[in-house]
Amino acid sequence: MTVISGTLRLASASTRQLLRSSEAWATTLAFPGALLAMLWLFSELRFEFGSQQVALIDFWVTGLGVLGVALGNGHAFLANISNWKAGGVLKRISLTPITAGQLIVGEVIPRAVLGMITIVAFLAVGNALGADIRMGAELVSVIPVMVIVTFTGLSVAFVIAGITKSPQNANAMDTAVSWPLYLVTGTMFPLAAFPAWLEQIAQFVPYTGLIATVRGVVLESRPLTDFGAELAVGVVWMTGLLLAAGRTYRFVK
Amino acid sequence: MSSTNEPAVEVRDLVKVYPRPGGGTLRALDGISFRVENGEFFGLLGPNGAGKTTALEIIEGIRRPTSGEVRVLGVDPRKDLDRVKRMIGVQLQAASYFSLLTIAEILDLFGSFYPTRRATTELLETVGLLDKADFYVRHLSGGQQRRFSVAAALVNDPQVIFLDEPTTGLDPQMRHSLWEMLRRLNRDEGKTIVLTTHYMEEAELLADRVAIIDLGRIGSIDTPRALIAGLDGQGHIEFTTNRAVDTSELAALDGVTGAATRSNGGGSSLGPDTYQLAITDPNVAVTSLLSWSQGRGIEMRGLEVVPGTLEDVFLQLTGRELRE
Amino acid sequence: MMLRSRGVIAAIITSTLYVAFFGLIEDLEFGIGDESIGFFDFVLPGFAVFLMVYQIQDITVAVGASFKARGILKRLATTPLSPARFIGVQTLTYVGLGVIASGLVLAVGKLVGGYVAMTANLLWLVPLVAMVALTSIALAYVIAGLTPNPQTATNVGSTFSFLMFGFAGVMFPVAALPGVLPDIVPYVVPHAAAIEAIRGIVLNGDAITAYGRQVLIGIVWLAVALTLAPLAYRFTDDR
Repeated sequence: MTVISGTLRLASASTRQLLRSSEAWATTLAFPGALLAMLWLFSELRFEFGSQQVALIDFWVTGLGVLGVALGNGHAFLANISNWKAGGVLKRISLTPITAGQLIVGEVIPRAVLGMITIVAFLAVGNALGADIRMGAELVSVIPVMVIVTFTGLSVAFVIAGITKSPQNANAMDTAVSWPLYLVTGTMFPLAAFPAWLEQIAQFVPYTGLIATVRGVVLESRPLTDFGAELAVGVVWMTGLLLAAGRTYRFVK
Repeated sequence: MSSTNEPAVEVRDLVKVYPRPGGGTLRALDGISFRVENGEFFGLLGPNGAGKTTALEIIEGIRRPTSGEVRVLGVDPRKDLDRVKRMIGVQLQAASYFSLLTIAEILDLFGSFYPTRRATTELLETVGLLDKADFYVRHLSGGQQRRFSVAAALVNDPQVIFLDEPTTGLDPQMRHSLWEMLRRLNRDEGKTIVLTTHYMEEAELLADRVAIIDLGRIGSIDTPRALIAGLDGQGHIEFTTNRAVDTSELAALDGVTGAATRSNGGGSSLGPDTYQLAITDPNVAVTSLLSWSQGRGIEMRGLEVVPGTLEDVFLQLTGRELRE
Repeated sequence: MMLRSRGVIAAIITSTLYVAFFGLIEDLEFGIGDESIGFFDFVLPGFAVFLMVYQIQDITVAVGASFKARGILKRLATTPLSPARFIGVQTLTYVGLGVIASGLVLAVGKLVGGYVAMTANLLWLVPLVAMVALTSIALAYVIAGLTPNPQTATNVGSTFSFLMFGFAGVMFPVAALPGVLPDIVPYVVPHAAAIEAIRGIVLNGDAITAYGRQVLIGIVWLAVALTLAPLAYRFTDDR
C-alpha cells in the first residue's frame, strides 16, 4: 500500500458513508433550500452603502453560497469526527499503519467535491430565482476558489475536534469560531459599510478575500487574476490549517 | 524479521505515571516486566484499574511510557511504530468503527492498509459472521460485535494479537464461543495471543501462562496450574446447614485454616447462610467436619469441595478479591 | 444549574457582542423601491429580542432532544411529574433570563449609537419579550419531541431559527416581501407580530395600546405552542 493508495481507499470509504448519511443530505438540501426560498421572497430588498447598492439576493447568494452552503456540512462533519475521537474510532485507526494526515485528506476529498457541486448548484438555482449570477466560464473559475474554502473549513473542523475533549465542547467552540466569521468576512453585510480599519483587518481573516473573489467573478465577470492577493491569503490560511489539523487530530497519549 | 529465539513481546521495568487532577501523581504501572514467547497464549489477570489496558496500549504504541522498555518481535514501538503496527493485531476493550460502512466494507478498508492481508470472506467465516457481511456494526449483537473486533484484529494476518478484555459483558454462551475461536487461533494457526481479563476462568482455561497484576504491579507469573499449586491452602469447602453454627468452632477443626459465612438472603431453600472453610487437606477437613456435625446433630446440605482457583491466588498475593 | 451553563453565559455574551459589532456600521441602509431604511436602527429592536431568544431556543432543542435520547424522559415517566409541569419549570427560568438579556442587549445597542425612544412605554417590552421567549421555548420542545435524534433536532432547530430571522421581521423588513405576503406574515409566522410591536415601541415610543392586534396574535401563537409542546414532547412512546 502506498501513501496515495491508502488515502484514496479512505476517500472512497468516506464517499460511501457520505452518500449513505441522511444528515449530510438534509444539511446539503434543507438549509440551502430554505435560504434560497427566503432570498427569492426578499428579492426586492437591496443594501445601500455610500454611493453603492447591491441586491440582497446577489449579495447573500454569493456570500452565503461560499461560506454557509459550501460549509453546510461542516457542523455535522465536526460532530462526526469529534464523535470518532470520543467513541474510539480514531483510536482504532491509530493502530493501523494509516497516519492522521491520510485520514484527514481521505475525509476531506469527498466533502470538497460535494462542496463544489453544492456551490455550483446553489449559484445556478440562485440565478434561476433572480440573482444576477453569471453562468458561463465564471462558474468554472469559482471551483478552485471553492477548493480552498472547503479545505480550509474542514481543516478547522479537524483542529477543533483535535483540541477539544468532547463533542459538546467541539460544538461550542465551532459556534464561537463560525459566527464571527459570518460577520467580519463580508458574507452577509458589505464590509464597505464598516469603518476602514475593520475593512483592512478583515482582509486577513480566512474567507474574506475568497468571498470577494467569488463575488467579483460571478457578479462582475472579473478574471481570477484580479484577485491574486486575496487568493494568496486564502492559500496561506488553508495550508496552515491543514498542517495544524494533521498535528492536532490524532490519538497518541 | 525477528529471530526465532526472540520473544514475541518483552516488557522491562515499565512505568507509567499520570498527574492526578487535584495534584500529585498516579502510578498506573510501577515497573512491570514480563516476556511472551512466540506461539504462547499469555494472560494478564487483574481487576479493573490494575493497569492491564495501560500496559497493553503502551506495548501497542498508542500510549507513551514514563520509563521502561518494550519490544514487540524485537522492535521498539517508540523507534519503529509503523513496523510494529504491521506485525500486530489489536482488539480494543471498547472499539468503534465507521457507523455507515458494513462489516465487510470495514474489513476491506482496514485490510487495504497493510501490505499483506487475509481475505474478508475468510475472516468473516473464521468468526462466524459471514451471513452478516452486509450488516452495520450497530446492528450486530454484543457478542457478534466482539467477534467482529477480533476479525478486524486479524485482517493483516498478524504474528501477535492483543486482546483487551474480549469477553467482558458477554453471556456465558457467547463467551465460550469466543474462547473456542481464540483457542483455534492459538493452537491451529500458531498465533501469539496476549489477553487481558478480570475473569479467572478465562485466564485458567485459555492461557499457557498468567501474570497476576494489581495496582500497577505484577505479583506472579506462571502457568495457571503452578500458580494454584503454590497456594498455601488447597481451596475451600462450602456447605449449608439446617441451623446456624458458630464459625469459631468450624475454624478449629482439623485441616481447616479459616471459616466464613455468606448470606443466602431470606427465603432460600438452602438455609440462611453458606459456610466457607479454607482448608489445607480436603480429606482431613471433610472427615473432621462430618464427625463434628454428627456429634452436634447438625444436618449438612450441599457439601462441596471447591479446588483452588486463580481467584484464591489473587487473594493470597494481593489481599484483595479479584471481583470487587 | 442553568445559570452555571456555559451555553447560557455564551449566549448573553455573543448577543451583546453582535449588537456592539453592528454598531460599528457607518453607512448601511435597506432599499425597498424608492424608500430607504437605516439598517442598524431597523434591526436593533429585533436583534435585542431575538439574538438571545434564538440561542435559548437552540439550547432548549439540544437539551430536550438529548434528554429524550438518553432515556431521561423514560425515567421521568415512572414519576408523578407530568410533561407539562416538566416543560413549565424549565421554561420559566429561561424566560426570565431572556427578558433580562434582551434589556442588556438593547442598552448596549443604544450605547453604540442605535436609536431607542426613551419613554416609559419601554417597560412593555418585558411582557412582550417574555411572550416571544416563552413561545420559542415551547416550539423548541415541539422540535425536540418530533425529531428522531439530537443531531436532526439541532439541524431542524437551526434552520427554524434562521427562517425566523428572515421572515419574522428581525433582520429584514417584512414590507419587502412581494404581493400580499406582508399582510399575511404577521399572522402565520411566529413572533412576526410581536417583533412589529416591539419595533414600534423602541423606535417610535408608541404605547402598547397601538398594537392590540399584534399582541393578540402573539398570545394565540403562545397558546398554540404551549398546547403542542407537551403533546409532542412525551415521556414515553405510547401515543
